[in-house]
Amino acid sequence: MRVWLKFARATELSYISHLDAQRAFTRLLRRASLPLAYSRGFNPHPLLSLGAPLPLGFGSEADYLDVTLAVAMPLEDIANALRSSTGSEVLKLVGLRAVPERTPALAALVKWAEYTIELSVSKDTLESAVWEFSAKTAVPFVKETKRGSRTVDAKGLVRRLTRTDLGLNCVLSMAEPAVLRPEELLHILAPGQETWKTDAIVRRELYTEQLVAPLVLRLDGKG
Amino acid sequence: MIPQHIRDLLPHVDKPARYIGGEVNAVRKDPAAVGLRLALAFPDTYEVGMSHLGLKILYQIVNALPDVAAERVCAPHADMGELMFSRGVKLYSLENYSPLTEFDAIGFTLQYELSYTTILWMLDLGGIPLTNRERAEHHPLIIGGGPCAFNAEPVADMFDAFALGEGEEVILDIVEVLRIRKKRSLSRQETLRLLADVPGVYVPSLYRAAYHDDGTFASLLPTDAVAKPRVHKRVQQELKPEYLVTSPVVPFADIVHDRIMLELFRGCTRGCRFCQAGMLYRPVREFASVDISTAADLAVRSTGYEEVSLTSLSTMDYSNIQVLLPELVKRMDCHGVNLSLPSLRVDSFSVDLASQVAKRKKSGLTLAPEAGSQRLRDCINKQVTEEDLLAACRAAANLGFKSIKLYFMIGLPTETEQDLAEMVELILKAARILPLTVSVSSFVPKPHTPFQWEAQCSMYELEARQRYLRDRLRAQRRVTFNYHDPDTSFLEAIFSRGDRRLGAVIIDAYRRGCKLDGWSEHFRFDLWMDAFAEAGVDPCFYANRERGAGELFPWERLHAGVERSFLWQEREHALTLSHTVDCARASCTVCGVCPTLQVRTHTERERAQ
Repeated sequence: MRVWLKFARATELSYISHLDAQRAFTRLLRRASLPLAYSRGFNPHPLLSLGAPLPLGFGSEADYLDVTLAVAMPLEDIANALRSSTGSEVLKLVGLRAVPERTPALAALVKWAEYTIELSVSKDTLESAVWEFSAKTAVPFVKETKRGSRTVDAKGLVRRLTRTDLGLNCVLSMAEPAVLRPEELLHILAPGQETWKTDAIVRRELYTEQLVAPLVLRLDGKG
Repeated sequence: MIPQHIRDLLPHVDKPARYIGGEVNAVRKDPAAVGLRLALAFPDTYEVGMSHLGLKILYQIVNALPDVAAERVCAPHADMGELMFSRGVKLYSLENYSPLTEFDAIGFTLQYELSYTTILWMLDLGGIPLTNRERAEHHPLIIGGGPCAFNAEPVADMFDAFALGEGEEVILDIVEVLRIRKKRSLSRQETLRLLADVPGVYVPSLYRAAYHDDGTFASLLPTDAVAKPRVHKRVQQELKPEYLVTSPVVPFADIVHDRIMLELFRGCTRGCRFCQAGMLYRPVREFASVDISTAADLAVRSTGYEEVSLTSLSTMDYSNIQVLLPELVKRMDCHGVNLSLPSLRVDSFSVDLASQVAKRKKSGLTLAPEAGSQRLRDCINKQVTEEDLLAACRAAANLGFKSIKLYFMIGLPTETEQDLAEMVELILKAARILPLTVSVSSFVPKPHTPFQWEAQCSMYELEARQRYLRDRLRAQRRVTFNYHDPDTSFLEAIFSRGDRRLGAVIIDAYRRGCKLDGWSEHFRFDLWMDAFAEAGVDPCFYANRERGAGELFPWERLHAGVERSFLWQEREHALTLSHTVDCARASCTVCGVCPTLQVRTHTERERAQ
């Protein structure tokens, strides 16, 4: 049985790495005594993957886990087990759904991520930066990666950008043609300046190409 | 919630997960709701400290008391430490993020001589004066325990008290003294005098050390009527189920031993003459099989760990291992949990059992023949023959293991080039059976062992012997040869048998920048040598000098139960290559521990009879 689980993390857990998070989730599932399915081979490991890595220092209300169980069980039982296990205060289950075995990997479906960025910057400054970005038809941006740098159009990497009471809300690309990280967006919005002081960045949701969250996605090919 | 002044540091340091606390199974009690607060401090980083079984046991025992809180403290890495100093953030506990100064007492475990400067660094980061003389009424009591407490003299000035031996009961006695202190508002000095009365507790400030003109130790005299003439270690006759750790803290960060540690027994009386643990933790006492199996189940459920490691001085010596091991394998299989074993006894029986354990992961095995020649193995009382080792290797190969790791020591008493030549021969024979990783460490004479009178080889000699081996093993494709720098072994030898005069050297070395000495990237041998020169102390006097038969030792008042006369006799037996039996399997060897401490060997097999 294949299940997608959605978790919210306590703020403390924004300081753990992607690998730390993978271990923490695996152990949470094991403490909940869920019948995890294991890979075959010389060194079996549980069939479990995180939908998208979270950079160190970010909060998250949307950690998706793609898990295969060896035995099918009611979703309600899975939820109860995860909600009563130790550690469920800091890795809080917020939703789950069963998915057909042949569904593509979550990591392959996720194309966009929504973030809220808390900033110590005046409302007017933010307002004009957002307005300026929206008004432009193209915003060339030099993307640095491990394989070198290339120029991409940041407009195509930002699906939504609004000012909120505390800072910004944005939906940024998680996949091709390039990943755009919140810090990179801030560099684009405030070029040539000292970086704006960031108080907190929280990932709110992950989306597919059609801007649908995995838990509400239709998997019958009609959605 | 992590306080803001700590959160402000986290984005600027490497791997902040080590500093956030809040792990699964961490016990957080409201400071206002408890009567006493103890900090359990490990003088190394989180990754090392969180891998230590002793700390987990004491954490469980103390936190089982409703009116007392035990909180963990580890040393930060250098980047975090520097940031804490520059921002004025005090070293804090991982449960309530409380600065060290808020605790009633801080317990440091002394596992390793090279952790002494790190203790000073932690005290300094916590805003606590480095020596017991400088501490005021309101400062926490600083208490040490663990193997190095059996010769605590080099750090005697830094500690208020030491606890010798197993901690389960003595920590409760110490808690009781602290309760009395609170109730009667006792002064620091009055509290220390009460502590001095607790069996197993040594209060160094109540003794004065004197030395002969030639620099050798003369005496350590009590300056107060409550100071005991001899402090005997604490030892638990019965290993109760509550000493097994069933809900260890599960770190978020990756640590050195990230698995459940399951203790099978304490003590080992095989009698290897270099081995301090073998002498300090006598006699052999085993946990009941049923308690071990139950604890394994509970720990797996409470942690979600995927691996259980069996930890004892010589795991395969558990009297009922042939029954216990298959039972554990069966139970752990149900949870999808792997069992793992530390180094094995060198024989094919052990290898065969190990293969039952490692059903899936047959990657490697570790064996410790310790010395290369039969003569030298007889000298150290390591009852292993060349045939045992080769048979173990052949068994491993037949059972599908892919490689073997061998541990040897160089610089053992009486070692000659002939012994090294035979070590090379033995390694080459074993390498024909399976690929090998050979690790060679340098012998450090330890107090309370038959070799406590011995000189350590000079660093140049140790280097020459390493070179001898390296030159002969380098071309071997099936042998990977590892060795440690002799300078750390030299410092270990100085401090393991040091006296109070070394305290000033340690403080000076810390002031010069020494800390985290166990990490090669931080180890500054040059600064250490500067500190010795400044103090006018000759380090070779401690490390490289053979002691006379009648010389008194600085640790004479600290008693592990094994008599000095037995140790001397064992040293003589080493020189005549005489074998001494294991009292858990053969007759009593009259080491003294059982009558002195009113204990006896207690095994599972006995329990069944």
